[in-house]
Amino acid sequence: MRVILGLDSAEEGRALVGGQPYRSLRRPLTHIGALLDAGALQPGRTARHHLLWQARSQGLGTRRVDEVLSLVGLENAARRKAGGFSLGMRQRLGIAAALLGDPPVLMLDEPFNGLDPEGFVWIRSFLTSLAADGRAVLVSSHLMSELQDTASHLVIIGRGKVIADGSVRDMLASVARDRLTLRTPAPAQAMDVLTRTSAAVSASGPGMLIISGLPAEKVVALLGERGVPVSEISAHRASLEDAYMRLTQDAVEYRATAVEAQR
Amino acid sequence: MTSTMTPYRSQAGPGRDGFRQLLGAEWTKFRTVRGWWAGMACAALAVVLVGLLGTAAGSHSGSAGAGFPAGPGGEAVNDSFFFVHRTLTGNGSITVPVTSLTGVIDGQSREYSGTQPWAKAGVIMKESLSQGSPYAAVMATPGHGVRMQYDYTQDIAGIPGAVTAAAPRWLRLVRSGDTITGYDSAGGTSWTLIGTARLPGLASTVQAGLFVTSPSIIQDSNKGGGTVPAVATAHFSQPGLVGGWSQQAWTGQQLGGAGTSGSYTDNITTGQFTRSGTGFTVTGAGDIAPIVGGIAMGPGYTLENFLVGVFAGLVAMIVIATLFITGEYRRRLIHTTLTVSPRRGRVLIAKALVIGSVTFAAGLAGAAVVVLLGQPHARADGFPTFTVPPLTELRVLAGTGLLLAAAAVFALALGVILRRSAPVIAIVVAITVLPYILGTAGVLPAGPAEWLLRVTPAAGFAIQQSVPFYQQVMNIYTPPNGYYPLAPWAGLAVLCGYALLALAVAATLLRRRDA
Amino acid sequence: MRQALNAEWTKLRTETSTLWLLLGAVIVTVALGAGVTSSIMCDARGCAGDPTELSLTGIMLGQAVIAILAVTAISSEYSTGMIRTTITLVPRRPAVPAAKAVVLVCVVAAASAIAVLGSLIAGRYILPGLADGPTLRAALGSVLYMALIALLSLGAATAVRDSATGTGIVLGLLYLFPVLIKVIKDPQWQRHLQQIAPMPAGLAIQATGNLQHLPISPWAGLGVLAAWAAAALLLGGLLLQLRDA
Repeated sequence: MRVILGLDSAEEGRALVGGQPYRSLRRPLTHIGALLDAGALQPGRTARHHLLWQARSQGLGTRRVDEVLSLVGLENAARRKAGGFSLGMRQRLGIAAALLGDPPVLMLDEPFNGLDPEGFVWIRSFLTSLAADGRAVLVSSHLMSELQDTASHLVIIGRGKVIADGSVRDMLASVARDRLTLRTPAPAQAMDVLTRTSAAVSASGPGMLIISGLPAEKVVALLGERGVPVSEISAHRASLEDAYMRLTQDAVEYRATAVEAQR
Repeated sequence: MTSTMTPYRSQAGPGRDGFRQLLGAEWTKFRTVRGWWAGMACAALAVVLVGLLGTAAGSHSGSAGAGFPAGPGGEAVNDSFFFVHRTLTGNGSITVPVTSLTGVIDGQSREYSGTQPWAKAGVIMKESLSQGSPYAAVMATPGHGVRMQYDYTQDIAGIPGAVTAAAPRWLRLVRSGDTITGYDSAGGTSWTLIGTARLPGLASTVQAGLFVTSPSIIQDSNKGGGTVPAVATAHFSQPGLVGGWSQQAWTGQQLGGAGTSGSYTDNITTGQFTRSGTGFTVTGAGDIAPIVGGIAMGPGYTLENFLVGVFAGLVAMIVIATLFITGEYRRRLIHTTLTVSPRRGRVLIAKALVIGSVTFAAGLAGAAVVVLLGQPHARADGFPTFTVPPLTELRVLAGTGLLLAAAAVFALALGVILRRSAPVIAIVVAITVLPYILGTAGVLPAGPAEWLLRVTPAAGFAIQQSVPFYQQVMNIYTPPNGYYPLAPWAGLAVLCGYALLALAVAATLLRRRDA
Repeated sequence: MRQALNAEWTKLRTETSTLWLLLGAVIVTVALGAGVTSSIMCDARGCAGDPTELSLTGIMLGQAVIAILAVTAISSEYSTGMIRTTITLVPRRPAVPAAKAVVLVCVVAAASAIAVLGSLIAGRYILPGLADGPTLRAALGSVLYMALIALLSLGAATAVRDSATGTGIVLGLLYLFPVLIKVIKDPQWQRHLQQIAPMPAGLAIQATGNLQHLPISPWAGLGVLAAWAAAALLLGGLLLQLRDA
């Protein structure tokens, strides 16, 4: 990201924004807005003034500053010193700064880190709405579970190489394992019925079975024929985490000793 | 997924990100951190308070409100000599031979004969007996031959060589309206014109006659410093008078005490004149000359003395200028700055302009206030203040602001290079203030002291020099006495050179380095 | 306390700038001292000025480098946030600057000894007549002077917690008094200021001759500087104890 923004120089290759190197852009904040480090603040400066100097450098004024502050919901904290901001407020402030030039592209580095649940929900919906406007929102993160529902396209980088570059749907599809989770008050009976089919069945807890190899309709029909009550049947959703783990098996640089996950 | 949405277009509105906007951004950055702008205000306050403290300490037993006598051009002068005079009304002339010029010097243990090279004996026409009034004089000196001097600052050379019985010096002054012309002659028959003095508005009645005076001998610090009293005695033959001279007898008196650069000895405590045949023997001490820096200043304060607080302000301003840039590195704000304004060279120049302007304004304000408040206060305490022409005062005050601004920009540039505040502040303060301390302390000989004040950023303090140099006034013109080796603007240029060189290096590093 | 000392020593010796700063202090001290002594004129009667004192002029510059070292030793903990770790490990807070003080004094004294020795050797080659007894006092006193400057800087920086302000305050205290003293016309005031100002009083220890004309006697002058350093350390320690980390 720093190379894209012209902060670091690349040893090889080039990074272009809109076809130009970043350092030759005029009014760069109107081309791309970035949040790399929410903590990069002068503690003695108020939030409003922090945005004001950035706005002035692009020829923008206090009106725009107040607009972005209300966009991110910081209008009440605008005249407080940035040193006293919580992490969530700092992230919001950083996003506000990225939006100053109303850019068509946003680039955010780990924006979800350290947020409380409320902040989390807010950012997720905010970024989604920004993308719905037609903007390109680039987010770097490792929080799979959250990104699964938010992101539409994924680029995975490991050990300096691009490991995957495609839509989230395709990626999930590639690891879909076609499994079902069945909850029933009569697990033994259900087990009995299903083991006679070609499906693989295993128990995964009191009253829960995992079935793979049969579509859900078939399972329901079979059990209904034999009178086995069914409380719940659901598709075991493929997770982005699974996809990521599979793709990056070889490419992880620092790996903690694995603790076997209970499935 | 292929998007069927139209790509977003920025609606930020028109605007430029030119240099003016960059300046606005950097100024906003500075004024929105209370510690920085309040610190600048405190620095200006320090200039005032420390300056007042330094010049208000103690009191002097001189008469309150007394200043140095001022010559026709406004400069501070010594106007002390033994005057044997009569009144001259309208045009006229006086001609007299000086047949001997000797003196007595009051050494540490005993008195011995000898003269100060600029002891003066000759004829003078002076508008009145008040201190600092206009005059023109032709005189013999032991070390510099015959001179014509007028209005304290003007000096023209005549016949060289010392006065002896075998080689007397004939001196003549001719007054015609506002103009007084001086002549000299070795034999009394053929006269050479030395120079012409125009004294605009000269009264028709003037005091004219013979005079003798001698400044003290100034010893340099290697021999202990201080002054050695010297008194001169001259023999004049019968003066020839032409024109409207009064018929009263010659009156002899000491004008102006001994002044600040002359002194009578223990044995010869006052000037005098006696008749010897048709001539006169006159003894006198003192000087008719502008006051220069050093011992001749006596207990008086120069303009730069009031600006001693500038050193305190300088340290504070260097701290703030350094923090203006190193604070960004420390808080990783430099990334934001360079993302928002990728043209890095311009960012540096904008920062330099902002911090330089603020420092200049604060420094100028502090300097102006301390001079305004301090001078009357010092005079009330009995310390005379050395007055300078308004243009000089403007140069000193504006120059002080400029030197503070240059030091601030120097610190800013070093802050980009080193990125850590403590080394930057230590380097800038040490190489700006320590050479000044060493150069003006009088511990080093004049050569190395002047080298320090030529080559280091401390050269910039030359812009504050308000004491003038006169080649007809013998003095130790060295830094401890307030004389810098470089001309004022040249010294400031050296300091600016340091700042600009550091800026150039900083700009290169800023562009090449990863942020 | 022993653990605190150990910790501080480890911190100081593993910081890369420490060695460079100490080396820098030695170099500038010797260089300036040699420069001054080579510029003094000497004739048959002796040299103008006090040869030992002149050889040791470099201390005036070396002290600035030592100030950087001492100030950053404590303020870098605040700027990186490491102070919280340090105070957690050493709950008796005054032990922190105390341990830093001990460790700093040791390294500064060692470096100053080298610097003083170098300056005097250079002076001996250039100037004749370096007296022995008083020169020893001047040498030892100069080493103590540098150590006291380090302590003064440490105390001031602990009190203000910021390296820029701390450096500014220390250098201001050292360099501003001599300038002020020169301007004051009243001899009484001049004398008093020379007796209480940290640098002029402290450097009185370097005088080897004409002692009766000094405004303050050598060891008393060093004592004045010690008082400044003690006051700074006390203030710093007190504020450290009372403030939130």
